[in-house]
Amino acid sequence: MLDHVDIDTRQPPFDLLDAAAQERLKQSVDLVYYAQGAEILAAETEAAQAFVIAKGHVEAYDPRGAGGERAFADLGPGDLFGSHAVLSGRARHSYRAAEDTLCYTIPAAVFRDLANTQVRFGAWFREGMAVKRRHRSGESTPEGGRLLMTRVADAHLAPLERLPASASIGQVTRRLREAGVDCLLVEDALAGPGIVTRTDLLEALALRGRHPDDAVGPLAKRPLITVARQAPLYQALVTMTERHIERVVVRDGEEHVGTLGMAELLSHYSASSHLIVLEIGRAASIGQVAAAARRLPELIDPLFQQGAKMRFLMELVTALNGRILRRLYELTVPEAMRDRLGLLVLGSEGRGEQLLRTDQDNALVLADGLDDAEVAPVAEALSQAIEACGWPPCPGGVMVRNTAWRGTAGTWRERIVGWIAQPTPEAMLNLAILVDARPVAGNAALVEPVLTALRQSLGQDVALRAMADQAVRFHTPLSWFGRIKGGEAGTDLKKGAIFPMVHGLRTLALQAGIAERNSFARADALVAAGALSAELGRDLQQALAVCLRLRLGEQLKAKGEGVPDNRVHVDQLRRLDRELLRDALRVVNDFQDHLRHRFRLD
Amino acid sequence: MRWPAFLERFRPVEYEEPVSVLDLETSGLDPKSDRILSIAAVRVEGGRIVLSERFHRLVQDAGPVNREAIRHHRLRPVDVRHGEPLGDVLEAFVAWHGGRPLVGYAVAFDLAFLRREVRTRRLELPPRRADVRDRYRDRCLRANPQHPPDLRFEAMARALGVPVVGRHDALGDAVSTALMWIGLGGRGGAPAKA
Repeated sequence: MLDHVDIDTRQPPFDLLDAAAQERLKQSVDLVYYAQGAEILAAETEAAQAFVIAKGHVEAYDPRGAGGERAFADLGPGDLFGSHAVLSGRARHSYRAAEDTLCYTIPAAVFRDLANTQVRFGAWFREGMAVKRRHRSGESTPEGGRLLMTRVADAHLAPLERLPASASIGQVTRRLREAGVDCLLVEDALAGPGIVTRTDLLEALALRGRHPDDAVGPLAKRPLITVARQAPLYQALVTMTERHIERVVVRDGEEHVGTLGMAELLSHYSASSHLIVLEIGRAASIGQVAAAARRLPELIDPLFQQGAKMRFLMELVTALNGRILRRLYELTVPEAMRDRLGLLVLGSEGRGEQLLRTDQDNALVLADGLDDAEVAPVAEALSQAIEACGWPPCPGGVMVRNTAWRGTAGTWRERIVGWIAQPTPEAMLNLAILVDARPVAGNAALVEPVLTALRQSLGQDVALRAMADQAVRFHTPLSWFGRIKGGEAGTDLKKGAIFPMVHGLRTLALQAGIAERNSFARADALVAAGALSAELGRDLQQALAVCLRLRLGEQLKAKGEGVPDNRVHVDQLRRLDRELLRDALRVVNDFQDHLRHRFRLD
Repeated sequence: MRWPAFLERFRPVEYEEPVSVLDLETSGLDPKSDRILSIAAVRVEGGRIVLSERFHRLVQDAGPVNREAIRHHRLRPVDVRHGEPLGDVLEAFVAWHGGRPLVGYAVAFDLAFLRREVRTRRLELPPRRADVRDRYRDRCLRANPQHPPDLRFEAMARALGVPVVGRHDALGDAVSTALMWIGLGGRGGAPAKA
């Protein structure tokens, strides 16, 4: 029989569906005609369907662009659009038929269901998280295969306690305590089952003035977020990260059978990350730490291939890197000196955004009275050890082995004042990476005064403006017509996208007195503080995740071929990735406008 | 205006009405001796070809083989062996069409086959029909009375800017015909709620 629905299921993202799902997709589509000029999907509206162009030509544009509508993409036969609108509930852009156009329409319910049940297909769309080529060809590491095959039922599930909605908060608290669980199911014949956690109870009592005798019913959260026992474990991770929850209810058919927490999931899920942690802890020599540390990419790669959220990936890597650095510190710094030094990681490592080790930026704070000459050989040994673990030396010399990056709190304060007084490009860069500093080993108390002094001195308008100016200096590599620029050398994502976002968020965070270091956390905090619109905050997080993911993809591909760089080759990206990058760059443009306005630049 | 029931079948099909677009594959060209091999139909409603609720059935057939016809519709005896009895297919089709006017390319040919089989089974077809070929010819002649247009299926599809999907298969032709109906102005009313 001939194929009547001409959607190419050998092309991404439809190739990520299994055969039955592809068939279901084809059975569910309609074919819709749009006359030239017709609006197919309007920005800010809910989409009842996603679209695949069968014939014709569609223009995507932003009706809210500064100075009227702004076109940003041309779509042709085979292109998919509206997926974001379907999955997030709202269209970001408007779409219009540039000529008479026929589209296959995929009902939103079917599309969402496919994204939820087809792991790889879902991963493709989640936060623009594409699944790599290698994934598609079925080639996967044993670890990757195992992770995909593990089921929710294989994980350690906590028993599910139940109480009626009429039970009192006190009763619920006692039951949680007796059963040793941190949440329970509240049964309510009318409203359906809901979940209540220890935190909910605590907040109700402490913050909302509830009494322990009050009924628990109104506290329960609905609808219940569940995963099937038979679902891949990965699905639970996805559900939790997407919903920002730490625990899901597991169901078997219609019956609720237990709960699964993030901790149990991760311990099961990334067994090898735990192994690496164990190895690091046990390592008796720098050589053994280095051997474990060099295995980190083995852990990142499969998680990346499966479309793990960038933020989760970064948290995991940051936690592991922290263990490594602490262990190196213990192995190189004599015991008598350990409490009199504080080791700081700066820049991307400080922000917890380094995935592969691109460079080491670190510094030492010395206790008052400790002689730098005495510290010098220790610092040199530490730098060498860090290098041995795979962090290439910093080209700018931002390393503890250099005197310029060691000093007592007093010395640091003088440096900071000097940099602000003479804001050369180098001084500005130094300040910027120091803002992201995070203590990882030694005496953290030594470090705090330095960071406080830094934030105070940088809180001034002049310094902030100078910093903000740098974030808007580079233009994004996006042409007027929505084309992504970049020659044979590729497009520099760091310069044109990642740096403006990271640095802009850093500057805004300083201005708002926010101490968060991670860019995603900074965006959240800025939104909460009202310094950033919720929309721009969310867009920035997604855009940053897209850029980091694309860069990581390139870096993993080039693994072992020299120091990772920041370039992607747009012509080699798959269509959807190109679309996502284009979206991301537009977000960067908007953000730069926001910074210009806020700091009255130009 | 209300049409008397006996005149209903003469009431022209409007482009704003939802319609069923159908196509048959047959064992040959003679309605008296040849047999229906498959029936396919799609609804056009709200500018939408409702593929998700398409009708497409193969008819069980063991009659003599016409090589010329096989070359046309590519249904080999082995394919139609898996079909359903014609009576079942027709009953399902009558349940499916919902009284919407029938639209086809040279629809009289398909109806000649259908009518004979339906009548013997006391089933009913919708009274009203429209032919994309006739409408296309009328339109061309109105615009340019001196030049009789090329009315072949592919030529019409090309002229109307319609992609030909899986030609010579009942469903493919039904979809292409539905696209021609849309190309002629057929919208099937306000967009249906998706």
